[in-house]
Amino acid sequence: MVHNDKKLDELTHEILSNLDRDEPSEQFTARVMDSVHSLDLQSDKNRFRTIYWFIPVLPVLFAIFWGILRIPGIKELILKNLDYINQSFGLIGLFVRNLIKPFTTMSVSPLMLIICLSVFLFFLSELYLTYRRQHH
Amino acid sequence: MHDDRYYIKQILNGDSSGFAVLVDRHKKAMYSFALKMVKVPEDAEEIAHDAFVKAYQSLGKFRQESKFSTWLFRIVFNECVSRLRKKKVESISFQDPKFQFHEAEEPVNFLKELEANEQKEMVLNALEVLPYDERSLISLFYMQDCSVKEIAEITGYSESNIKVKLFRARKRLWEKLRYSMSEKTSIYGT
Repeated sequence: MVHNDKKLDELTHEILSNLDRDEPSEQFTARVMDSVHSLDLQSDKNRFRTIYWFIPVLPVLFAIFWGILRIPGIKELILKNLDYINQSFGLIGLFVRNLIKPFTTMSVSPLMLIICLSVFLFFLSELYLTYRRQHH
Repeated sequence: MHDDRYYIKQILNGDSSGFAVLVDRHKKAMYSFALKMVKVPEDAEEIAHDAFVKAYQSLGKFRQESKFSTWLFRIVFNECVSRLRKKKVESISFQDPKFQFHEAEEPVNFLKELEANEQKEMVLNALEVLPYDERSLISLFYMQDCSVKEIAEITGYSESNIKVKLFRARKRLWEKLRYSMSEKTSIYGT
């Protein structure tokens, strides 16, 4: 039986390896590349859409931060609770990620990251300036 | 001519032109394999097309632990299986007692008596009667020169399972060939 199977294996190999491979149509590569290019365009569009959606969101975010910082006594309150805020950064990061998630079908783009960092730095500089004003 | 990894790196760096080289290099094998599985040329071409597009989209996830062609075969195999399941098309089970293989019988070289074209047609017809999983194994092992290990990666079956399935598939294939040959001789009286 083992002998038979070995022989069958050899015969199958001999016959099947000699069969011509079927070929797809001549335009096959061109069709695949067309699809690939349209995918690239689609992903560019998504990237654009990410920025596009962020344009109206950005001033709103600024207004919210600005508004919060204008509340009398808020800066002092924040400064007193810096440790707690520091611990909450993880949660803030999570919140920001979830906030921007619906506006994008891809992961956070570098531009989005820069914008978020700018807002964050603005917020920090405001805090620092208040701190300096209080101690000098 | 560079190897597949060179073009993959190029594509991951943002230059998609190298993908055309990869498509040209592997399209015959992928189409041929898909055709053996789904049997309809239009469907096979669509499956091969979709598989290449999927591969392009997921290229970043390809860990390059296996050959690019093995990874592509796996995508084509999954596409074919899901399509065949959707269509609920299955080959007729080859259980007729008249096809039963006699273990004591020596395999004969009856196919060698036929002309090349006739031989090819008969083998392809016999392949078509096999269930799609056996057809896929025969195609990968004998026609695409994949090793048992590579077939395990492509299909998700264990290596020992593949060896058993290949043994059965081989037997069925030759039973069918033997039967076709006996039918032919009885019709033409040769």
